Amino acid sequence: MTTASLTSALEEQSERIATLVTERQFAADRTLEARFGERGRQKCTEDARRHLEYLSSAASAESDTLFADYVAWAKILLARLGLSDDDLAKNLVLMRDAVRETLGAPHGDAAARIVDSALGRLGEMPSVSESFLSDRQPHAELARRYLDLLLSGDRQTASTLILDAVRDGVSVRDIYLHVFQRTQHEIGRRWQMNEISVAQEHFCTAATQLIMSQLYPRIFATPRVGRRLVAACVGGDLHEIGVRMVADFFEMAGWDTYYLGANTPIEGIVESVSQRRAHVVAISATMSYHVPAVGDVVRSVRERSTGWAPRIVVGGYPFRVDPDLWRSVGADGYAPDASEAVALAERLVRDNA
Amino acid sequence: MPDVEVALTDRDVPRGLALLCSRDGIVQRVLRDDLGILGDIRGQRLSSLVDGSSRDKAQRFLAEVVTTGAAFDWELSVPRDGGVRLLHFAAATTDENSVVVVAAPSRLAVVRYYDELMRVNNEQANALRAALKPETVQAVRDRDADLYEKMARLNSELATAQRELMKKNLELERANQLKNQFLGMAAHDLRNPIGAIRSFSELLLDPTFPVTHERQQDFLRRIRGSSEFMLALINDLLDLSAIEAGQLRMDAQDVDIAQLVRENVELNRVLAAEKQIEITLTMNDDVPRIHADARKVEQILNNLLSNAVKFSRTGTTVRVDARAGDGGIWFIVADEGPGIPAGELATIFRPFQRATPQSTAGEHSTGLGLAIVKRLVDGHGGRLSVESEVGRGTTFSVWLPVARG
Repeated sequence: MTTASLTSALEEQSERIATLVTERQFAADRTLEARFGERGRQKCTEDARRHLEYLSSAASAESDTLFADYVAWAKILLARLGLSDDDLAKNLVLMRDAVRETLGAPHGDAAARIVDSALGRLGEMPSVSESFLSDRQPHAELARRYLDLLLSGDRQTASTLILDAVRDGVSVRDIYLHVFQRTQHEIGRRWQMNEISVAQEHFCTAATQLIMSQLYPRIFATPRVGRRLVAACVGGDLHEIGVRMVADFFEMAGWDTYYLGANTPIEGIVESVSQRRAHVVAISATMSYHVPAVGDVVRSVRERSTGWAPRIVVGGYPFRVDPDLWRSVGADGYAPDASEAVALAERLVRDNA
Repeated sequence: MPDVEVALTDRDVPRGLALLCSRDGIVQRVLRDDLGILGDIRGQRLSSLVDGSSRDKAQRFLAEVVTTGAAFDWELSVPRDGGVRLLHFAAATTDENSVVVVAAPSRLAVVRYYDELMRVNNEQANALRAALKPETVQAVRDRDADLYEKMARLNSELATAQRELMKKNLELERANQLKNQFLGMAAHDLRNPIGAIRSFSELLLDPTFPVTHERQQDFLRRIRGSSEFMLALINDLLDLSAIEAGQLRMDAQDVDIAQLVRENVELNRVLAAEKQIEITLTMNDDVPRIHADARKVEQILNNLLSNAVKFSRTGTTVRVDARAGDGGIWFIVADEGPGIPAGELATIFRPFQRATPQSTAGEHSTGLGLAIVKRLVDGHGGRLSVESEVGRGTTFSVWLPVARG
């Protein structure tokens, strides 16, 4: 059995397994039908599909940690909605058994093992998530005020707050790392905790993108060092802001950056890398089910860059969760944040010279 | 991801309002008013109950109910306690040709309120069921999720476009500044020879000015010299501005580089001989033919060689070394001239950045030669570097690839 065959088996059978899980869940608890009806069934199946997506990407990356992290995330989310560990555990057991039956040995056993590993850790996983805006962090007060303004829909004042802080000497790097990045993480957490809506999440992200652009005159003022970066994101637009920050950090270090956003097909990324003769390519993944696509980008860039070898760095949530994951996608390294990404890239380019 | 709704419990009793209206929007009955905001409003228009800002929207809401049979999740403002309150409305037509309307403070609350109404088995439950049947709710949800996604994409694309624009804008600003500087320097450099031409020609034309034949010849030679310098400067300027405008056209062909080097060394030996400067050439047999623009390579070689001669004193030697290496050809020109101070090395490839050393026989320099060389080397995908020591001399090294990668 190979990783690839397990992944494709899971993907092929996903619909069947999801339906099976829902049927069994509704059969086990007759009150569900009365309480939630057809709509509930649909939701349940959707949830099961999502679980399977994560399971499949964890299998593909050979990383139990990725799936366990997803379960930890779901536990917090469900706890806020009044569901207990027990409910989640039951659901996971249903899924594990459905996977095992549907796929049979050895695929079913391998997938079940990943689920079991997460189940084993379910008890010790926290049921609330800690705020990203702790007092101990630099510029904590600024970050808190910024987030409050955004959540109250006041982007004008939020923008003034940031521009004033920069004028008063706070570095753009600090604003990025301690205000923008932290508040973005906090917004995600509050959504998970069911404290804010999807609309608020989108608004905050859009407002931060606009305010970032007001800092561009400072960001693009650094003398050039003759190095080029192509940056792209595999995943949704709501999360591309992270790699955008990374590109801006390179810009501040004097690199010429070509930022491609979240919707560039592999072909476009490869083309841009070769057209710009990029020294470094930065690719970020939003969710763990985007990790295989990152692997595809890495492979294509390597295959198609003849005559020179751009270094490839990866980042984003799944790579932070599993610090060894970057190896499995064939990258040259991984950085947990924008600042370290620049340091890593400069080291890689020096070693490559 | 798990949806909020699935985990709904009956923890708290939802609050909202429910009305029965005629199809033209006249309130017939208040079914429930947990929010306590309506009072006895029978006979009034639904649109008159909402805040002025929502009145048009309320009409469209009713229109949608009447035409499609149901409407879900319309946000309308309702006056309350001297202010306004935003409520989420849903409605459906009943079999009796009336419209049942429910409203609650959030979309989720509407759904819960609906559940609550179903529980009390209200006579309008069937109509409500139609308004909030899973397909309607799901369709609105899907539409919203899809719109959110599209808006996020639109926003990202705008942000990316703005980033590009800002980057380009700053680049243009910098380029424009450089251009202005450049123009100022070029104008300054053209002014001197024009001044000379003008003065000498005025003298020649002045009938009161005593001028011998020899003097006349001398003046005319100076006028010609100034004209030649201006011509050279303008040619260089044209070259450089063409390159800067991205119009460096490479007419790449197979070039016998050894032959080209020999010819250029020979040519410059003539000039060097006038100053008793020797040019030596060391060339390995392994010098490859390269794929390049022959005229431009010649310009590179010639510029470096004539520069070396220009700044060398009588009796010194200029050494030229050509050999294969690193997948291309190395071409090195070393003089025993005055050398360039370390602080000036970084800027000598910029236009008009003349270094301190003066030419040794009054030769003019346009200040553009090295800037052009640098750009031509870059255009070939090559490398250009300089080493210098004051009092010892200067060495320029050019590397050109066998073929542009």
